Amino acid sequence: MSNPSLESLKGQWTCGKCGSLLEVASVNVSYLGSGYPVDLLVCKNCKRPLVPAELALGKMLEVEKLMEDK
Amino acid sequence: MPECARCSLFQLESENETCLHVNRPGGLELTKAALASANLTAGASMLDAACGSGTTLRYLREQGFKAQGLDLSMEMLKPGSELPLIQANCGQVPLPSASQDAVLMECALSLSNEAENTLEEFGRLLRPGGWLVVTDIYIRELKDPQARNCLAGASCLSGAQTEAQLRGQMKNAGFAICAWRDQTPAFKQWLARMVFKLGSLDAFYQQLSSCEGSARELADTLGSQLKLGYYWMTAQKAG
Amino acid sequence: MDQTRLRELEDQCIQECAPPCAAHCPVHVDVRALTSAVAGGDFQSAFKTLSKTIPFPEIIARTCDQPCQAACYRKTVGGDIQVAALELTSIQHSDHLIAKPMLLPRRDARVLIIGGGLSGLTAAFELVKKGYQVALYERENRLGGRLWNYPEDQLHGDVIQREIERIVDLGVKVHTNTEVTPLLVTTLQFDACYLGTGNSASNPFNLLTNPDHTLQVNMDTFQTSQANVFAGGSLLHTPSTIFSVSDGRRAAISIDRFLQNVSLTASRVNEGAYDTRLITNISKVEKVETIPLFKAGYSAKDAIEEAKRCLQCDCMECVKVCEYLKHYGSYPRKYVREIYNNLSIIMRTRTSNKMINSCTQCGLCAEVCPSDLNMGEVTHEVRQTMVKTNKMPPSAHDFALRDMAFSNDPRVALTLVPGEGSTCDALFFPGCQLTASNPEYIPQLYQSLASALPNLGVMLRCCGAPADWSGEENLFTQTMQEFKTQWLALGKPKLVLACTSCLRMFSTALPEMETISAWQVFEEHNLFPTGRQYTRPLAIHDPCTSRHVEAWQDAVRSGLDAMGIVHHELEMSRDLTECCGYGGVAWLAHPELVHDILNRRASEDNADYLTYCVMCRDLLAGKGKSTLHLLDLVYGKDLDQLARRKGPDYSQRHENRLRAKQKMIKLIAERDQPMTESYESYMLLLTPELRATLEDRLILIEDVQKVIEHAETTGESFKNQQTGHTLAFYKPNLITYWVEYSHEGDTWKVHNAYSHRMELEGGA
Repeated sequence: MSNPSLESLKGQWTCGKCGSLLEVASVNVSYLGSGYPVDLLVCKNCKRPLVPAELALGKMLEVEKLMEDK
Repeated sequence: MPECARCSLFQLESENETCLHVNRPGGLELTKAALASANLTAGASMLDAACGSGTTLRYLREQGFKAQGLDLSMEMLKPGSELPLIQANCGQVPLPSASQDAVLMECALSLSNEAENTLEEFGRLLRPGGWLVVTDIYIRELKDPQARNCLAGASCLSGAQTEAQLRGQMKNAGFAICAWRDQTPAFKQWLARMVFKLGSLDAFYQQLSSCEGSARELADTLGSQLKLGYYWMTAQKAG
Repeated sequence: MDQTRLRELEDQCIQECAPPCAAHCPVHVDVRALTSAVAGGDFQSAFKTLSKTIPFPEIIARTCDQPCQAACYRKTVGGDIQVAALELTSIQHSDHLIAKPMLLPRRDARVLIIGGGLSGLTAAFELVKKGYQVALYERENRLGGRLWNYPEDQLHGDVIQREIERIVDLGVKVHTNTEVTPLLVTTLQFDACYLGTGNSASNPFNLLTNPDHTLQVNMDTFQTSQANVFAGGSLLHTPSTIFSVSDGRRAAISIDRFLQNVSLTASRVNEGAYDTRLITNISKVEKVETIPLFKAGYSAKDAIEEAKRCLQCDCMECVKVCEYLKHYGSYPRKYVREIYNNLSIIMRTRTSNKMINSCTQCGLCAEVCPSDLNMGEVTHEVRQTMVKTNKMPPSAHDFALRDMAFSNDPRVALTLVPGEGSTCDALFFPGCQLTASNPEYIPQLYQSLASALPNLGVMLRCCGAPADWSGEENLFTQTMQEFKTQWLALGKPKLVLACTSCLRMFSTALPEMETISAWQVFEEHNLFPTGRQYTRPLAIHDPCTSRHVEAWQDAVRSGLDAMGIVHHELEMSRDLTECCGYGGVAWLAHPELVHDILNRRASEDNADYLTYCVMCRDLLAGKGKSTLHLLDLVYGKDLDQLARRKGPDYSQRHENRLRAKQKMIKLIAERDQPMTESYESYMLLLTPELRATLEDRLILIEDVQKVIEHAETTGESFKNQQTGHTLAFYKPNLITYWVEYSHEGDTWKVHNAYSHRMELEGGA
């Protein structure tokens, strides 16, 4: 799935640890026992993903609320 | 007459077969759990009503059941499929009375506003003591009876009912419910997948709704005044 | 629950006991139904109610001495109900037609009735209906006996004749002008006899008598010294038409049993007049005077008014005060039966599961029940049975049990004592929910308590209430055992509690343990701050588990006084307090019901509420009722805001427990370490807007500092090539915090901060 905002961020971020440019990769995010694949910027060396504010405050928050709701 | 064709929502899910066995909450595992609670033996005659892409139907036949599928539309079935399929409406099935040991209906009773007719027709098809296995969305919590009006514009959900209503209809149609299990966690996981796929719950509501206004009404009501859930139940025809 | 226990419980509920009027009426006319019909202007069905029980409705309406009035609950609030007058009006304003009763098939046994008064006629009526061959002998030339002594304007001869004729016409062979002498008896053929000869001295059977020459008669069966001869009516007591009807009917039952050769005495409960167990609360009944009654009787209009005065006595005390019992539209006697049926069903669906799981088990029903029936105990017992027999749906209490498991996980729970030793003299046990709702109060409360109690330890964990409420007996026992092991190792310290639910659990499971509330410690050691103010009226909401815990209730009130807080009582307070809906994990089983429970409680008083259970506070505040916790008054600053605040959500509660643990470790175990944390040296620069945003997102300044410290010390961060900003994350416990910042001089300028609870592959 292509993500225009992700593409635009791509050239901007480097890893603070190894200095390499972040690349787009599919990362599994999970909550309360169920996982979902999502495309994120990741440092291929250090394996650390970057979660942009819009993802944390958007989809992720929505899913968190959904799963916590009784 | 009940419309048993699947709505756009379920077709949407079928694009991504890799993460799902079948296109509905809980997947085939939920179907298996529901079937296990009915006392069925290999060779039993069975109708998979609103069989869609036929995933469950294929599974049933692998298990040795004499299963055939029923759907109003043939579009969802993979081309070249060898599965026995009847193209008909759930309210008028061209099969003799008391001919079936079991009828299965997954995620489709709530698609129509004529659950009563559908259940009556299943009652006709089943032999006395025959099994009806249903999995579907239902109204789990209704704070304000007015709130259910919001479902009217939401194609797939317009026929969603409360547990009490469903139990009443089952009783009226001559069924004794043997097991009812809430499966809301599976439904939530399915919704969560929708959020990741479509971007937000709002986008999901738009997919469901006929117009912008009804999408907003859904978003305002669901979760606060009305909570949806998912269930499976098995019931036996009286006799 | 077995049949015996079911019967016991059913019997405990008095709702279905007869009202006093019907119980005191020896033939049990359904007076309540009769007055209800009259009150609705339905004289026809009022008449039906009367004639269903009494074969001579008009005679009785005109002559009854109304034993029903003796126990009428209306008596003291305006005067007892004029029942006989209402009966008469019902006759006068209806068709007063009585359908001919169904007669049972003919039986050959012959019954002799001696005496044509009201009791003999009633016996004849009952026995003819049963198919027996009945012959009635009367000394006088007409039937009715004593009835003819009434003045005509009270009981006209036409009425007597009309009502008697109807009985005779059913097939009674009547012999008037015939005195039954001992000689005549020898010529008559009969299998049983009823003697209703009033005060005439005749004793044709030569039956045994008492010293005062009255007949020896068994007052339960009406049997005389001769097995087939029965006697009743005014030969036994002062003349009373209604008691004569009762005697005739009860003797007829004995005669029928005698002729069928079955026990005369078996299961003859509540025959004749008796005292009912039903109690009706009239404390809130308004006085309404009896409608004046003149000789001509009531007009239809007056009768309706008089009938409306009837209280329609029932109990319903518990249903009146409990939203849960009200919700299911019935009362405990019925509920207990339904629950029993639910348990015995094997294959069918168990529809009462939700009902069983919706009780808050608060015990208010038992407080108001005249016979102490506690539905909370019943549902508690039944939940335990359901769990044991695998009938409890696994999902029913899962949420609460997982929350409990989290609190007691070794990574979250904490047991700590000050100093070098391994024991303590007192142990502060704040409870898992106070810790989750207000972690900031835990170290504060500890410090206050420690100033009064030397060598005070702390234990952060869950008491096990969710397991107990859910019927998970084994899990509860195991949780308590884990606690007890630690408590013993700590040297059996006195437990200092801040939650009445914890108190309830501990005093049930470990009664030998000494406990005290934090509020009592505050009271004893003058720890309540003085001169506190709250601008609006404040009413005390006692938590349901504080019921009968007077020491806690008192300590809270004197604490409020000490702080200078003006407060008042709710109508339902102290031992009569209502549950907020959290008890018994009802909020999981039935959120809509809990919504009603909260609304009821919140609307009881316009004042803001003050409570000492944090779940009560969070639930009430969640419904928009401004509610303070006692600790808000002790430690809080902006009380208006504190009273309105919503409780934290699920994840935040977990996070808060972990935070409280870290603070307590810092406070007790690392006392010799510097008081400031290393991350506190990161001076932040934030715009007021961003500060407000962080507040909305529940991100603390210390969370931001921790992220920056982590990034700066490990280098784990991302750099933006265009802005030069650093973006980093840190996950101290369960929540991942992200901060975008830049280093400017001595300060760290924060550009954005956000958090998520979802977990990522790769650490976040």
